[in-house]
Amino acid sequence: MDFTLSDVQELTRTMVREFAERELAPIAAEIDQNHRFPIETLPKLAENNLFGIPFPEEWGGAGLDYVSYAIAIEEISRVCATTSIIVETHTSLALEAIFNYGSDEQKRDYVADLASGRKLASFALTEPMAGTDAAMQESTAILKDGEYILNGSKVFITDGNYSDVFVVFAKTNPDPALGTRGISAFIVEAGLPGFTAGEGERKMGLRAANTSTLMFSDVRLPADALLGKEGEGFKIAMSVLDAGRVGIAAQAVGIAQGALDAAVKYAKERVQFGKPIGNLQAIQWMLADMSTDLEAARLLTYKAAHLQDLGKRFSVEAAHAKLFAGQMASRVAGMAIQIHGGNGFTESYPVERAYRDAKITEIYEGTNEVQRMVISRALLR
Amino acid sequence: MRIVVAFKWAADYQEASVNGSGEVDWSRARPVVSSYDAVAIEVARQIADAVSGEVIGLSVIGEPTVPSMATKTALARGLDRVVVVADETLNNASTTQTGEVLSRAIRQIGDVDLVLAGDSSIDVAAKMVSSIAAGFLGWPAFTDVGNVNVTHGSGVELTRPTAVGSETFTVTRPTVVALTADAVVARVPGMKDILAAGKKPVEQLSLASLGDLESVPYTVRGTSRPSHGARLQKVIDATDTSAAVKQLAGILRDAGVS
Ligand SMILES: Cc1cc2nc3c(=O)[nH]c(=O)nc-3n(C[C@H](O)[C@H](O)[C@H](O)COP(=O)(O)OP(=O)(O)OC[C@H]3O[C@@H](n4cnc5c(N)ncnc54)[C@H](O)[C@@H]3O)c2cc1C
Repeated sequence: MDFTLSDVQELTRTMVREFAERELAPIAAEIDQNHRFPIETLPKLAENNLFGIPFPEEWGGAGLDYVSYAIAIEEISRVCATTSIIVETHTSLALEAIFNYGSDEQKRDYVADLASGRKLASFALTEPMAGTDAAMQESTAILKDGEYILNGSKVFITDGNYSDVFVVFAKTNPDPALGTRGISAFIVEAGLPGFTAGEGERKMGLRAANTSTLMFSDVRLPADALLGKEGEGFKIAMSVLDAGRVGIAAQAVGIAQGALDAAVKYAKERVQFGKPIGNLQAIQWMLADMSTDLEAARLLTYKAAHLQDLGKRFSVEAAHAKLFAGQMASRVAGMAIQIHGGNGFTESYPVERAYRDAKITEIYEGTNEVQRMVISRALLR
Repeated sequence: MRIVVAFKWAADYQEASVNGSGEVDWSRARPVVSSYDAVAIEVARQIADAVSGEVIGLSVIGEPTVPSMATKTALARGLDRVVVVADETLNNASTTQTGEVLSRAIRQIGDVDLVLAGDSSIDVAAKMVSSIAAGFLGWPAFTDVGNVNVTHGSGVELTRPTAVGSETFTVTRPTVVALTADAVVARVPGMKDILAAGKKPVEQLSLASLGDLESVPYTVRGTSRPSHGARLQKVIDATDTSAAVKQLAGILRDAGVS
């Protein structure tokens, strides 16, 4: 067993940290406070090849491994979780779906543009009546005269107002007897007649991220917009969500690392009773617990990513990582606020943002409860 | 055009700490490519791209083997290849020794038109190595250079600040230039540069192959941190900015700051 990171993984950390400090840190608080989508960051992410990290170079990706990708998400999240969710949904969900399930033609049409960041992609599964119970899809895509006619709506879609390409799930066969086998996946381009996006949600955390509704009204999709085979949609969604969970675990680790770094700095600087509060055992123990919690989550995350690199099954490990890391991030960010005292409760310090941002990692791409279901099902099989 | 960039793989001062007795504790400081040298690599890359030149990194490392992270980090920043002189006996080499080893390696590389370096290293900050290397080479040396321009056939144009403005030189023979930290903003390498770095050539030169050195090592006898006085504990009301500035200037003057 070797816990040493490779040169490539170490370099990824160094370079993405430098990128995040230079390009993201100066605006992270401002975009959050103004609920402003950081549109100016997208070309910078593209220039640094951050939109296709784990995909082969011949497809426009950076050709790195999934552990490096997790490290990159972690380093971006350490500074700005909003930016990391843009990279994460694009890479782990949308691009992963198209790369793994697309035909050669679809890959040629989309992968290079997406991996290079020339185009941005979203993943549209959730509906008003289909959240955790994703099988309850009400959107339909009915084949008629060689075209699929897409109707329905999606909610909470990351980058819904900004993406060029959407991986959309809908029922191609509404026969209830078919269950999840009635669901198919499609590649849908923005701007098609009948396809509109609502306004972005105002959120508690990830406030600068764009999360919107999508409406489809008789949107005509060419037959070759079908991703994978008819009826394979649910399988595609579940498989890419495994990859996504590693990405979200990495996001949680990064948010927590940012909070811990801020807490350590504050503990050294803030003087009470004549000495820095870091001299108080109460604070030292909190920092020690935070660090231990964080390191455990990081190891679970890298383990899941490593299995992904080996091409082995990693569903349960991804669930372990996401379940633990999400809760860890909330705990660690909470303690970071505690160490900051009243200052921690204000927007003048970054830890309140970390606290608000951490919460979503327990919800999206499968809530804590869903992760527990995945893990316990495997145990009781 | 062949450009050599001298870079140092040095402990990151941001991770060093000073203990109570004034000694700098480097034990937890991880090595990095000196940030000043990253600026030199960027300037070299921009020149080489403009005139289809080659950028060769050159480093002197006091370890028996070349740390792969040292070369990959520098290569990712835009070098075409790297030459390293790695030898345990160069651990804690004096600035004179380092300058001499660099000069020998530059001769060994051959046909070098321009040597760029950061103005200073992040750990020792002697600000001398590039000039010493130039001395051994018998080449002109310029320090504190903020701008380097290369146009085909007409040599290298260097600009550096002076007390009254700036001066510009045109150099038509091989030269050694130390750049200011703000000469350019070094770009952050992209993810593709990371894999590419691992595929670029790295050549290790043995110290022995460079011949007997003239310079001798030195030993550091001790270090101490600057003494600083007690805090003045003065608070300035900044409601009226110009009055506050005057008050601050007065306090500094009274404290002996000139
Ligand atoms: C900021 C943000 C971004 C998002 N981005 C996307 C996106 O890009 N694409 C996309 O498709 N979706 C996205 N989502 C949706 C997200 O994945 C869902 O919100 C999430 O899956 C939970 O679904 P829900 O909100 O409908 O909650 P519900 O399913 O209504 O769950 C409510 C509660 O009930 C629990 N629960 C439900 N069923 C069970 C069960 N069987 N056993 C135990 N507990 C259960 C849940 O765990 C939860 O605690 C996003 C959401 C947010 C907030």
